[in-house]
Amino acid sequence: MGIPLRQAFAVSRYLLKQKLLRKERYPLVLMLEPLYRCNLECEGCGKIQHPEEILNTYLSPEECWEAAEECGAPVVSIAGGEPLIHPQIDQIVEGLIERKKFIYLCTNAILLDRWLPKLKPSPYLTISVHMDGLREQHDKAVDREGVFDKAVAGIRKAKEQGYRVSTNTTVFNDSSPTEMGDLFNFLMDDLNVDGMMVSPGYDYPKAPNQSVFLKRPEMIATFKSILDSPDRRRWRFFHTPVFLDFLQGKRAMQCTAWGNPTRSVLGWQRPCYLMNESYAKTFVELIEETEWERYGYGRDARCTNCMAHCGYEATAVGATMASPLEGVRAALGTMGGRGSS
Amino acid sequence: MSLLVVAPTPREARAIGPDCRVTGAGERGALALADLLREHKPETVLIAGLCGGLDPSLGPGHLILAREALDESGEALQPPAMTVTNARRAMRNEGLRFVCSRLVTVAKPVATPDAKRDLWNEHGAAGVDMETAAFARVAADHGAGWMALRAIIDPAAMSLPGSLHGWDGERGEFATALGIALRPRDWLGAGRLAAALRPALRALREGAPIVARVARDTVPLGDDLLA
Repeated sequence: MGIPLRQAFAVSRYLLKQKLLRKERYPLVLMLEPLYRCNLECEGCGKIQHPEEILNTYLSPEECWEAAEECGAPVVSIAGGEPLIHPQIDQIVEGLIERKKFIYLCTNAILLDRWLPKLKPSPYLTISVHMDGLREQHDKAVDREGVFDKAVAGIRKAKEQGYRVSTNTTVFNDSSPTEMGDLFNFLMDDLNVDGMMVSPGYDYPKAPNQSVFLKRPEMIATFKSILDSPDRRRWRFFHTPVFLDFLQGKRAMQCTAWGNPTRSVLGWQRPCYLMNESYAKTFVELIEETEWERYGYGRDARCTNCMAHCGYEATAVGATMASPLEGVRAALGTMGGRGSS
Repeated sequence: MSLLVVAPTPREARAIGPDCRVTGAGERGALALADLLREHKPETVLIAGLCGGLDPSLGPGHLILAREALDESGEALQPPAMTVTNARRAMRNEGLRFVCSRLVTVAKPVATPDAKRDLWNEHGAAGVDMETAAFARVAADHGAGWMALRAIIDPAAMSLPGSLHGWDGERGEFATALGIALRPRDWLGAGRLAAALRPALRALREGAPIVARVARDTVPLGDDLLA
Protein backbone atom coordinates (compact mmCIF):
# COMPACT_ATOMS: atom_id res chain seq x y z
CA MET A 1 0.00 0.00 0.00
CA GLY A 2 1.29 3.53 -0.79
CA ILE A 3 -0.31 6.47 0.99
CA PRO A 4 -2.59 5.00 3.69
CA LEU A 5 -6.29 5.03 2.86
CA ARG A 6 -7.02 6.96 6.06
CA GLN A 7 -4.71 9.74 4.88
CA ALA A 8 -6.00 9.64 1.30
CA PHE A 9 -9.60 10.00 2.53
CA ALA A 10 -8.74 12.78 5.00
CA VAL A 11 -6.85 14.76 2.36
CA SER A 12 -9.63 14.22 -0.23
CA ARG A 13 -12.25 15.38 2.28
CA TYR A 14 -10.18 18.47 3.09
CA LEU A 15 -9.72 19.31 -0.61
CA LEU A 16 -13.41 18.85 -1.31
CA LYS A 17 -14.24 21.20 1.55
CA GLN A 18 -11.92 23.87 0.16
CA LYS A 19 -13.58 23.52 -3.24
CA LEU A 20 -17.05 23.83 -1.73
CA LEU A 21 -15.92 26.91 0.20
CA ARG A 22 -14.57 28.24 -3.12
CA LYS A 23 -11.23 29.04 -1.57
CA GLU A 24 -8.79 30.21 -4.21
CA ARG A 25 -5.65 29.53 -2.17
CA TYR A 26 -5.34 26.93 0.54
CA PRO A 27 -2.47 24.93 2.03
CA LEU A 28 -1.98 21.22 1.55
CA VAL A 29 1.20 20.51 3.51
CA LEU A 30 2.61 22.66 6.29
CA MET A 31 6.39 22.71 6.06
CA LEU A 32 7.35 23.08 9.70
CA GLU A 33 10.95 23.98 10.42
CA PRO A 34 11.29 24.04 14.20
CA LEU A 35 15.03 24.68 13.85
CA TYR A 36 17.69 25.34 11.22
CA ARG A 37 20.48 23.58 13.11
CA CYS A 38 21.70 20.40 11.42
CA ASN A 39 24.30 17.75 12.17
CA LEU A 40 25.30 17.52 8.48
CA GLU A 41 26.43 19.99 5.83
CA CYS A 42 25.05 18.47 2.62
CA GLU A 43 26.55 19.87 -0.56
CA GLY A 44 23.17 20.81 -2.05
CA CYS A 45 21.54 22.29 1.07
CA GLY A 46 20.58 25.95 1.31
CA LYS A 47 18.88 25.83 4.71
CA ILE A 48 21.74 25.88 7.19
CA GLN A 49 23.68 29.03 6.26
CA HIS A 50 22.08 31.20 8.94
CA PRO A 51 23.97 33.14 11.65
CA GLU A 52 24.69 31.29 14.89
CA GLU A 53 21.93 33.04 16.88
CA ILE A 54 19.32 31.85 14.40
CA LEU A 55 20.76 28.33 14.35
CA ASN A 56 20.42 28.35 18.14
CA THR A 57 16.75 29.37 18.02
CA TYR A 58 14.15 26.57 18.21
CA LEU A 59 10.36 26.77 17.93
CA SER A 60 8.62 25.59 21.09
CA PRO A 61 6.08 22.73 20.87
CA GLU A 62 3.32 25.28 21.51
CA GLU A 63 4.49 27.43 18.59
CA CYS A 64 4.53 24.35 16.34
CA TRP A 65 0.99 23.32 17.33
CA GLU A 66 -0.24 26.88 16.93
CA ALA A 67 1.26 27.01 13.41
CA ALA A 68 -0.49 23.75 12.49
CA GLU A 69 -3.85 25.03 13.76
CA GLU A 70 -3.43 28.46 12.16
CA CYS A 71 -2.57 26.96 8.79
CA GLY A 72 -5.10 24.13 8.83
CA ALA A 73 -3.28 21.87 6.34
CA PRO A 74 -4.04 18.18 6.87
CA VAL A 75 -0.40 17.17 6.42
CA VAL A 76 2.63 18.47 8.32
CA SER A 77 6.16 17.86 7.12
CA ILE A 78 8.65 18.48 9.92
CA ALA A 79 11.88 19.54 8.28
CA GLY A 80 14.75 21.81 9.17
CA GLY A 81 17.67 21.57 9.92
CA GLU A 82 17.60 18.17 11.49
CA PRO A 83 14.38 17.85 13.52
CA LEU A 84 15.81 15.12 15.75
CA ILE A 85 18.26 17.67 17.22
CA HIS A 86 15.24 19.46 18.74
CA PRO A 87 15.08 18.40 22.39
CA GLN A 88 11.27 18.33 22.41
CA ILE A 89 10.63 16.74 19.03
CA ASP A 90 8.67 13.89 20.66
CA GLN A 91 6.29 16.41 22.26
CA ILE A 92 5.91 18.31 18.99
CA VAL A 93 5.00 15.07 17.18
CA GLU A 94 2.62 13.94 19.91
CA GLY A 95 0.77 17.26 19.90
CA LEU A 96 0.38 17.18 16.13
CA ILE A 97 -0.95 13.61 16.27
CA GLU A 98 -3.50 14.76 18.88
CA ARG A 99 -4.60 17.35 16.32
CA LYS A 100 -5.00 14.54 13.75
CA LYS A 101 -2.31 15.86 11.44
CA PHE A 102 -0.52 13.42 9.14
CA ILE A 103 3.13 13.94 9.94
CA TYR A 104 6.23 13.32 7.83
CA LEU A 105 9.15 13.53 10.23
CA CYS A 106 12.08 14.24 7.89
CA THR A 107 15.44 13.10 9.18
CA ASN A 108 18.90 12.01 8.13
CA ALA A 109 18.41 9.21 10.69
CA ILE A 110 21.74 9.80 12.48
CA LEU A 111 19.87 10.30 15.78
CA LEU A 112 16.89 8.08 14.98
CA ASP A 113 18.06 5.27 17.25
CA ARG A 114 17.90 7.62 20.28
CA TRP A 115 14.39 8.83 19.54
CA LEU A 116 12.59 5.63 18.53
CA PRO A 117 11.90 4.62 22.16
CA LYS A 118 10.37 8.07 22.85
CA LEU A 119 8.18 8.30 19.78
CA LYS A 120 5.18 6.02 19.29
CA PRO A 121 4.17 4.30 16.04
CA SER A 122 0.95 5.81 14.75
CA PRO A 123 -1.04 5.80 11.50
CA TYR A 124 -0.54 9.57 11.59
CA LEU A 125 3.27 9.39 11.75
CA THR A 126 5.66 8.58 8.91
CA ILE A 127 9.39 8.76 9.46
CA SER A 128 10.86 10.11 6.23
CA VAL A 129 14.54 9.32 5.85
CA HIS A 130 16.80 11.31 3.56
CA MET A 131 18.43 8.94 1.02
CA ASP A 132 20.24 10.44 -1.96
CA GLY A 133 21.84 7.26 -3.29
CA LEU A 134 23.52 4.02 -2.37
CA ARG A 135 26.43 4.11 0.08
CA GLU A 136 29.07 5.98 -1.95
CA GLN A 137 26.66 8.44 -3.57
CA HIS A 138 24.73 9.20 -0.38
CA ASP A 139 27.81 9.73 1.78
CA LYS A 140 29.23 12.04 -0.89
CA ALA A 141 25.97 14.06 -1.04
CA VAL A 142 25.89 14.51 2.75
CA ASP A 143 29.67 14.99 2.87
CA ARG A 144 30.29 12.40 5.59
CA GLU A 145 31.21 8.73 5.53
CA GLY A 146 29.05 6.24 7.39
CA VAL A 147 25.76 8.18 7.17
CA PHE A 148 24.25 5.74 4.65
CA ASP A 149 24.89 2.78 6.96
CA LYS A 150 23.36 4.67 9.91
CA ALA A 151 20.30 5.55 7.85
CA VAL A 152 19.85 1.94 6.73
CA ALA A 153 20.19 0.70 10.33
CA GLY A 154 17.70 3.36 11.48
CA ILE A 155 15.15 2.36 8.82
CA ARG A 156 15.46 -1.33 9.69
CA LYS A 157 14.98 -0.64 13.39
CA ALA A 158 12.04 1.70 12.83
CA LYS A 159 10.34 -0.88 10.60
CA GLU A 160 10.92 -3.60 13.21
CA GLN A 161 9.23 -1.44 15.81
CA GLY A 162 6.16 -0.88 13.66
CA TYR A 163 6.77 2.64 12.36
CA ARG A 164 5.72 3.69 8.89
CA VAL A 165 8.90 4.65 7.06
CA SER A 166 9.34 6.48 3.78
CA THR A 167 12.38 7.92 2.09
CA ASN A 168 13.08 11.23 0.41
CA THR A 169 15.56 11.28 -2.46
CA THR A 170 16.97 14.39 -4.07
CA VAL A 171 18.25 13.91 -7.61
CA PHE A 172 21.40 15.87 -8.54
CA ASN A 173 23.43 16.02 -11.73
CA ASP A 174 25.70 13.19 -10.63
CA SER A 175 22.78 10.86 -9.80
CA SER A 176 22.92 8.23 -12.53
CA PRO A 177 19.53 6.80 -13.53
CA THR A 178 20.91 3.28 -13.13
CA GLU A 179 22.07 3.98 -9.61
CA MET A 180 18.78 5.64 -8.75
CA GLY A 181 17.04 2.48 -9.96
CA ASP A 182 19.34 0.35 -7.82
CA LEU A 183 18.60 2.59 -4.83
CA PHE A 184 14.82 2.32 -5.30
CA ASN A 185 15.08 -1.46 -5.68
CA PHE A 186 17.14 -1.63 -2.48
CA LEU A 187 14.69 0.58 -0.56
CA MET A 188 11.67 -1.41 -1.72
CA ASP A 189 13.06 -4.97 -1.67
CA ASP A 190 15.66 -4.95 1.10
CA LEU A 191 14.35 -2.30 3.48
CA ASN A 192 10.67 -2.69 2.60
CA VAL A 193 9.94 1.01 3.06
CA ASP A 194 6.29 2.02 2.87
CA GLY A 195 6.88 4.57 0.12
CA MET A 196 9.40 6.86 -1.50
CA MET A 197 9.49 10.51 -2.44
CA VAL A 198 11.74 11.91 -5.12
CA SER A 199 12.51 15.42 -6.23
CA PRO A 200 15.13 17.25 -8.26
CA GLY A 201 17.48 19.41 -6.19
CA TYR A 202 16.72 23.13 -6.06
CA ASP A 203 19.64 25.38 -7.01
CA TYR A 204 19.91 27.23 -3.71
CA PRO A 205 22.27 30.20 -4.24
CA LYS A 206 23.74 29.52 -0.77
CA ALA A 207 24.38 25.80 -1.28
CA PRO A 208 28.06 24.89 -0.70
CA ASN A 209 28.43 23.18 -4.10
CA GLN A 210 26.69 24.96 -6.97
CA SER A 211 27.84 22.45 -9.56
CA VAL A 212 25.55 19.65 -8.37
CA PHE A 213 22.27 21.05 -9.66
CA LEU A 214 20.47 19.98 -12.81
CA LYS A 215 18.97 22.44 -15.29
CA ARG A 216 15.32 21.88 -16.20
CA PRO A 217 15.83 20.03 -19.52
CA GLU A 218 18.41 17.78 -17.81
CA MET A 219 15.96 17.11 -14.97
CA ILE A 220 13.30 16.01 -17.42
CA ALA A 221 15.73 13.74 -19.30
CA THR A 222 17.03 12.25 -16.03
CA PHE A 223 13.57 11.50 -14.64
CA LYS A 224 12.42 10.04 -17.97
CA SER A 225 15.39 7.73 -17.83
CA ILE A 226 14.83 6.78 -14.16
CA LEU A 227 11.10 6.14 -14.53
CA ASP A 228 11.47 4.25 -17.82
CA SER A 229 13.12 1.42 -15.89
CA PRO A 230 11.39 -1.98 -16.15
CA ASP A 231 11.58 -2.09 -12.32
CA ARG A 232 9.33 0.97 -12.14
CA ARG A 233 6.20 -1.11 -11.42
CA ARG A 234 7.67 -2.32 -8.15
CA TRP A 235 8.39 1.16 -6.82
CA ARG A 236 5.88 2.78 -4.47
CA PHE A 237 6.00 6.57 -4.63
CA PHE A 238 4.18 8.91 -2.29
CA HIS A 239 3.37 11.11 -5.27
CA THR A 240 0.42 11.59 -7.58
CA PRO A 241 0.81 10.11 -11.10
CA VAL A 242 0.39 13.67 -12.41
CA PHE A 243 3.50 14.83 -10.55
CA LEU A 244 5.53 11.92 -11.92
CA ASP A 245 4.28 12.81 -15.43
CA PHE A 246 5.39 16.39 -14.83
CA LEU A 247 8.89 15.30 -13.81
CA GLN A 248 9.18 13.44 -17.13
CA GLY A 249 8.05 16.48 -19.16
CA LYS A 250 4.78 14.80 -20.14
CA ARG A 251 2.69 17.43 -18.48
CA ALA A 252 2.89 21.24 -18.17
CA MET A 253 2.34 22.64 -14.70
CA GLN A 254 2.84 25.91 -12.83
CA CYS A 255 4.02 26.05 -9.22
CA THR A 256 1.50 26.35 -6.38
CA ALA A 257 3.78 28.12 -3.91
CA TRP A 258 1.07 28.55 -1.26
CA GLY A 259 0.30 24.82 -1.28
CA ASN A 260 3.23 24.07 1.04
CA PRO A 261 3.56 27.11 3.32
CA THR A 262 6.65 27.20 5.52
CA ARG A 263 6.73 28.14 9.21
CA SER A 264 10.26 28.48 10.51
CA VAL A 265 11.90 30.10 13.52
CA LEU A 266 11.83 33.36 11.54
CA GLY A 267 8.06 33.33 10.85
CA TRP A 268 5.95 32.37 7.82
CA GLN A 269 8.42 32.25 4.97
CA ARG A 270 7.59 34.15 1.80
CA PRO A 271 7.10 33.08 -0.97
CA CYS A 272 7.85 29.36 -0.62
CA TYR A 273 9.80 26.61 1.09
CA LEU A 274 12.85 27.18 -1.11
CA MET A 275 13.02 30.98 -1.38
CA ASN A 276 13.09 33.30 1.63
CA GLU A 277 12.37 36.83 0.50
CA SER A 278 10.67 37.93 3.71
CA TYR A 279 8.61 36.60 6.62
CA ALA A 280 4.97 37.17 7.54
CA LYS A 281 3.83 37.29 11.15
CA THR A 282 0.72 35.20 10.56
CA PHE A 283 -0.49 32.63 8.05
CA VAL A 284 -3.34 34.92 6.99
CA GLU A 285 -0.86 37.72 6.31
CA LEU A 286 1.24 35.30 4.23
CA ILE A 287 -1.70 34.19 2.10
CA GLU A 288 -3.35 37.59 1.70
CA GLU A 289 -0.40 39.93 1.32
CA THR A 290 1.98 37.92 -0.82
CA GLU A 291 2.04 38.90 -4.48
CA TRP A 292 1.77 35.26 -5.62
CA GLU A 293 1.52 36.16 -9.30
CA ARG A 294 5.17 37.25 -9.22
CA TYR A 295 6.46 33.75 -8.56
CA GLY A 296 6.66 30.59 -10.61
CA TYR A 297 8.27 29.17 -13.72
CA GLY A 298 8.77 31.93 -16.28
CA ARG A 299 7.87 34.65 -13.80
CA ASP A 300 10.89 34.67 -11.51
CA ALA A 301 14.40 33.71 -12.63
CA ARG A 302 14.94 31.81 -9.36
CA CYS A 303 12.13 29.42 -10.33
CA THR A 304 13.66 28.52 -13.71
CA ASN A 305 15.23 25.26 -12.60
CA CYS A 306 12.77 24.32 -9.88
CA MET A 307 10.62 21.20 -10.30
CA ALA A 308 10.53 20.38 -6.59
CA HIS A 309 7.58 18.54 -5.05
CA CYS A 310 7.07 21.31 -2.48
CA GLY A 311 5.93 23.57 -5.33
CA TYR A 312 4.40 21.22 -7.86
CA GLU A 313 2.82 18.36 -5.91
CA ALA A 314 0.04 20.71 -4.76
CA THR A 315 -0.60 21.62 -8.42
CA ALA A 316 -0.64 17.92 -9.27
CA VAL A 317 -3.16 17.22 -6.51
CA GLY A 318 -5.36 20.03 -7.85
CA ALA A 319 -5.15 18.58 -11.38
CA THR A 320 -5.98 15.13 -10.00
CA MET A 321 -9.05 16.48 -8.23
CA ALA A 322 -10.18 18.31 -11.36
CA SER A 323 -10.08 15.26 -13.64
CA PRO A 324 -12.11 12.09 -12.95
CA LEU A 325 -9.66 10.10 -15.06
CA GLU A 326 -6.67 11.32 -13.06
CA GLY A 327 -8.64 10.69 -9.88
CA VAL A 328 -9.11 7.04 -10.84
CA ARG A 329 -5.45 6.78 -11.83
CA ALA A 330 -4.35 8.20 -8.47
CA ALA A 331 -6.79 5.93 -6.59
CA LEU A 332 -5.40 2.89 -8.39
CA GLY A 333 -1.90 4.09 -7.58
CA THR A 334 -2.85 4.44 -3.91
CA MET A 335 -4.50 1.03 -3.79
CA GLY A 336 -1.60 -0.58 -5.60
CA GLY A 337 0.91 1.69 -3.96
CA ARG A 338 2.56 2.49 -7.25
CA GLY A 339 1.66 5.90 -8.57
CA SER A 340 2.19 5.81 -12.30
CA SER A 341 4.54 6.98 -14.96
CA MET B 1 7.59 60.11 -22.93
CA SER B 2 6.03 59.91 -26.38
CA LEU B 3 4.32 56.60 -26.98
CA LEU B 4 3.16 54.61 -29.97
CA VAL B 5 0.61 51.89 -29.27
CA VAL B 6 0.42 49.12 -31.88
CA ALA B 7 -1.56 45.91 -32.38
CA PRO B 8 -1.36 43.34 -35.18
CA THR B 9 -5.02 43.26 -36.24
CA PRO B 10 -7.86 45.79 -36.50
CA ARG B 11 -9.96 43.80 -34.00
CA GLU B 12 -7.24 43.99 -31.34
CA ALA B 13 -6.64 47.67 -32.11
CA ARG B 14 -10.34 48.46 -31.73
CA ALA B 15 -10.36 46.86 -28.28
CA ILE B 16 -7.35 48.89 -27.18
CA GLY B 17 -8.64 52.30 -28.30
CA PRO B 18 -8.55 54.95 -31.01
CA ASP B 19 -4.84 55.75 -30.57
CA CYS B 20 -3.77 52.21 -31.38
CA ARG B 21 -2.21 51.68 -34.82
CA VAL B 22 -2.60 48.46 -36.79
CA THR B 23 0.61 46.90 -38.07
CA GLY B 24 -0.47 43.56 -39.47
CA ALA B 25 0.82 40.29 -38.12
CA GLY B 26 4.11 38.43 -38.40
CA GLU B 27 6.95 39.69 -40.61
CA ARG B 28 4.67 42.07 -42.50
CA GLY B 29 3.83 43.70 -39.17
CA ALA B 30 7.49 44.26 -38.33
CA LEU B 31 8.00 46.11 -41.63
CA ALA B 32 4.90 48.24 -40.98
CA LEU B 33 6.15 49.03 -37.46
CA ALA B 34 9.48 50.22 -38.88
CA ASP B 35 7.57 52.63 -41.13
CA LEU B 36 5.49 53.89 -38.18
CA LEU B 37 8.63 54.41 -36.10
CA ARG B 38 10.28 56.43 -38.85
CA GLU B 39 7.13 58.52 -39.22
CA HIS B 40 6.28 59.16 -35.53
CA LYS B 41 9.67 58.82 -33.81
CA PRO B 42 8.20 57.75 -30.45
CA GLU B 43 10.41 57.17 -27.42
CA THR B 44 8.50 54.00 -26.49
CA VAL B 45 6.32 51.46 -28.30
CA LEU B 46 3.59 49.50 -26.55
CA ILE B 47 3.03 46.21 -28.37
CA ALA B 48 -0.43 44.94 -27.45
CA GLY B 49 -2.70 42.16 -28.64
CA LEU B 50 -3.86 38.61 -28.13
CA CYS B 51 -1.70 35.54 -27.65
CA GLY B 52 -1.75 31.83 -26.99
CA GLY B 53 -1.30 30.67 -23.41
CA LEU B 54 1.58 28.38 -22.43
CA ASP B 55 1.47 28.76 -18.64
CA PRO B 56 -1.12 26.12 -17.72
CA SER B 57 -2.36 28.11 -14.73
CA LEU B 58 -3.71 30.90 -16.97
CA GLY B 59 -7.05 31.05 -18.77
CA PRO B 60 -8.69 33.18 -21.45
CA GLY B 61 -8.51 36.86 -20.54
CA HIS B 62 -5.41 36.57 -18.37
CA LEU B 63 -2.99 39.35 -19.22
CA ILE B 64 0.74 38.85 -19.69
CA LEU B 65 3.00 41.83 -19.10
CA ALA B 66 6.29 40.95 -20.79
CA ARG B 67 9.42 41.01 -18.70
CA GLU B 68 11.28 39.44 -21.61
CA ALA B 69 10.59 38.68 -25.28
CA LEU B 70 12.19 35.60 -26.79
CA ASP B 71 12.44 34.48 -30.37
CA GLU B 72 12.46 30.80 -31.33
CA SER B 73 16.24 30.60 -31.06
CA GLY B 74 15.94 31.72 -27.44
CA GLU B 75 17.47 35.18 -28.02
CA ALA B 76 15.96 37.53 -25.46
CA LEU B 77 15.15 41.23 -25.33
CA GLN B 78 14.13 43.03 -22.15
CA PRO B 79 11.93 46.10 -21.75
CA PRO B 80 13.08 48.75 -19.23
CA ALA B 81 12.90 47.10 -15.80
CA MET B 82 11.65 50.22 -14.04
CA THR B 83 8.73 50.68 -16.43
CA VAL B 84 7.83 47.02 -16.08
CA THR B 85 7.87 47.31 -12.28
CA ASN B 86 5.69 50.42 -12.36
CA ALA B 87 3.25 48.80 -14.80
CA ARG B 88 3.07 45.68 -12.63
CA ARG B 89 2.23 47.77 -9.58
CA ALA B 90 -0.37 49.80 -11.47
CA MET B 91 -2.05 46.68 -12.84
CA ARG B 92 -2.07 45.08 -9.40
CA ASN B 93 -3.61 48.21 -7.89
CA GLU B 94 -6.38 48.03 -10.49
CA GLY B 95 -7.06 44.40 -9.61
CA LEU B 96 -6.32 43.03 -13.08
CA ARG B 97 -5.71 39.31 -13.62
CA PHE B 98 -2.19 39.27 -14.95
CA VAL B 99 1.29 37.83 -14.67
CA CYS B 100 4.63 39.38 -15.46
CA SER B 101 6.46 36.77 -17.49
CA ARG B 102 8.12 35.95 -20.79
CA LEU B 103 6.57 35.98 -24.25
CA VAL B 104 7.95 33.78 -26.99
CA THR B 105 7.50 34.71 -30.63
CA VAL B 106 7.09 32.05 -33.34
CA ALA B 107 6.48 32.08 -37.10
CA LYS B 108 3.32 29.89 -37.11
CA PRO B 109 0.55 29.39 -34.55
CA VAL B 110 1.30 26.84 -31.82
CA ALA B 111 -1.85 24.85 -32.26
CA THR B 112 -1.93 21.83 -29.96
CA PRO B 113 -1.61 21.30 -26.17
CA ASP B 114 1.44 19.06 -26.71
CA ALA B 115 3.24 21.70 -28.77
CA LYS B 116 2.38 24.31 -26.16
CA ARG B 117 3.65 22.05 -23.37
CA ASP B 118 6.97 21.55 -25.14
CA LEU B 119 7.37 25.29 -25.74
CA TRP B 120 6.53 25.95 -22.07
CA ASN B 121 9.07 23.41 -20.86
CA GLU B 122 11.69 24.85 -23.20
CA HIS B 123 11.28 28.58 -22.57
CA GLY B 124 9.13 29.11 -19.48
CA ALA B 125 7.18 31.75 -21.39
CA ALA B 126 3.63 32.37 -20.23
CA GLY B 127 2.43 33.18 -23.73
CA VAL B 128 3.22 32.76 -27.40
CA ASP B 129 2.58 35.16 -30.26
CA MET B 130 3.85 35.95 -33.75
CA GLU B 131 5.14 39.49 -33.27
CA THR B 132 6.50 40.65 -29.90
CA ALA B 133 10.18 39.67 -30.20
CA ALA B 134 10.40 40.90 -33.81
CA PHE B 135 8.63 44.16 -32.93
CA ALA B 136 10.87 44.67 -29.89
CA ARG B 137 13.93 44.18 -32.12
CA VAL B 138 12.61 46.75 -34.62
CA ALA B 139 11.93 49.22 -31.79
CA ALA B 140 15.44 48.72 -30.40
CA ASP B 141 16.94 49.18 -33.88
CA HIS B 142 15.14 52.53 -34.10
CA GLY B 143 16.33 53.67 -30.68
CA ALA B 144 12.92 53.30 -29.04
CA GLY B 145 12.06 51.50 -25.82
CA TRP B 146 9.27 48.93 -25.81
CA MET B 147 6.68 47.35 -23.57
CA ALA B 148 4.39 44.44 -24.40
CA LEU B 149 1.01 43.42 -23.07
CA ARG B 150 -0.85 40.39 -24.35
CA ALA B 151 -4.18 38.84 -23.41
CA ILE B 152 -4.55 35.08 -23.65
CA ILE B 153 -7.22 33.85 -26.02
CA ASP B 154 -6.39 30.13 -26.37
CA PRO B 155 -5.06 28.72 -23.09
CA ALA B 156 -2.46 25.96 -22.81
CA ALA B 157 -5.00 23.12 -22.87
CA MET B 158 -6.93 24.39 -25.91
CA SER B 159 -6.31 23.20 -29.49
CA LEU B 160 -6.73 25.67 -32.32
CA PRO B 161 -9.08 24.76 -35.19
CA GLY B 162 -7.25 22.95 -38.00
CA SER B 163 -7.77 25.77 -40.49
CA LEU B 164 -5.71 28.10 -38.26
CA HIS B 165 -2.72 25.78 -37.96
CA GLY B 166 -0.92 27.24 -40.94
CA TRP B 167 -2.01 30.85 -40.44
CA ASP B 168 0.86 33.15 -41.35
CA GLY B 169 -0.61 36.54 -40.57
CA GLU B 170 -1.35 37.30 -44.22
CA ARG B 171 -4.94 35.99 -44.27
CA GLY B 172 -7.60 38.45 -43.15
CA GLU B 173 -10.52 37.83 -40.79
CA PHE B 174 -13.04 37.15 -43.55
CA ALA B 175 -10.84 34.59 -45.30
CA THR B 176 -10.12 32.94 -41.93
CA ALA B 177 -13.82 32.76 -41.05
CA LEU B 178 -14.59 31.34 -44.49
CA GLY B 179 -11.91 28.68 -44.03
CA ILE B 180 -13.50 27.63 -40.74
CA ALA B 181 -17.01 27.66 -42.21
CA LEU B 182 -15.90 25.23 -44.92
CA ARG B 183 -14.50 22.75 -42.37
CA PRO B 184 -17.32 21.45 -40.11
CA ARG B 185 -14.85 19.60 -37.89
CA ASP B 186 -13.38 23.05 -36.97
CA TRP B 187 -16.69 24.42 -35.78
CA LEU B 188 -16.46 23.22 -32.19
CA GLY B 189 -12.93 24.55 -31.79
CA ALA B 190 -13.90 27.79 -33.46
CA GLY B 191 -16.85 28.11 -31.07
CA ARG B 192 -14.52 27.70 -28.09
CA LEU B 193 -12.17 30.28 -29.53
CA ALA B 194 -15.02 32.71 -30.14
CA ALA B 195 -16.17 32.28 -26.54
CA ALA B 196 -12.64 33.03 -25.31
CA LEU B 197 -12.33 36.09 -27.54
CA ARG B 198 -14.71 38.20 -25.48
CA PRO B 199 -12.84 38.01 -22.11
CA ALA B 200 -9.52 38.35 -23.93
CA LEU B 201 -10.54 41.58 -25.68
CA ARG B 202 -12.10 42.90 -22.48
CA ALA B 203 -8.84 42.30 -20.62
CA LEU B 204 -6.93 44.07 -23.34
CA ARG B 205 -9.34 47.01 -23.19
CA GLU B 206 -8.80 47.29 -19.43
CA GLY B 207 -5.08 46.63 -19.29
CA ALA B 208 -3.63 48.46 -22.28
CA PRO B 209 -4.55 52.00 -21.13
CA ILE B 210 -2.92 51.35 -17.75
CA VAL B 211 0.34 50.13 -19.26
CA ALA B 212 0.22 52.97 -21.81
CA ARG B 213 -0.15 55.52 -19.01
CA VAL B 214 2.76 54.03 -17.07
CA ALA B 215 4.92 53.89 -20.23
CA ARG B 216 4.19 57.57 -20.90
CA ASP B 217 4.84 58.64 -17.31
CA THR B 218 7.97 56.62 -16.55
CA VAL B 219 11.33 58.01 -17.49
CA PRO B 220 13.60 54.97 -17.17
CA LEU B 221 16.78 55.46 -15.15
CA GLY B 222 18.65 52.89 -17.16
CA ASP B 223 18.90 49.34 -15.96
CA ASP B 224 22.55 49.77 -14.88
CA LEU B 225 21.39 52.19 -12.16
CA LEU B 226 18.74 49.80 -10.84
CA ALA B 227 20.98 46.80 -10.17
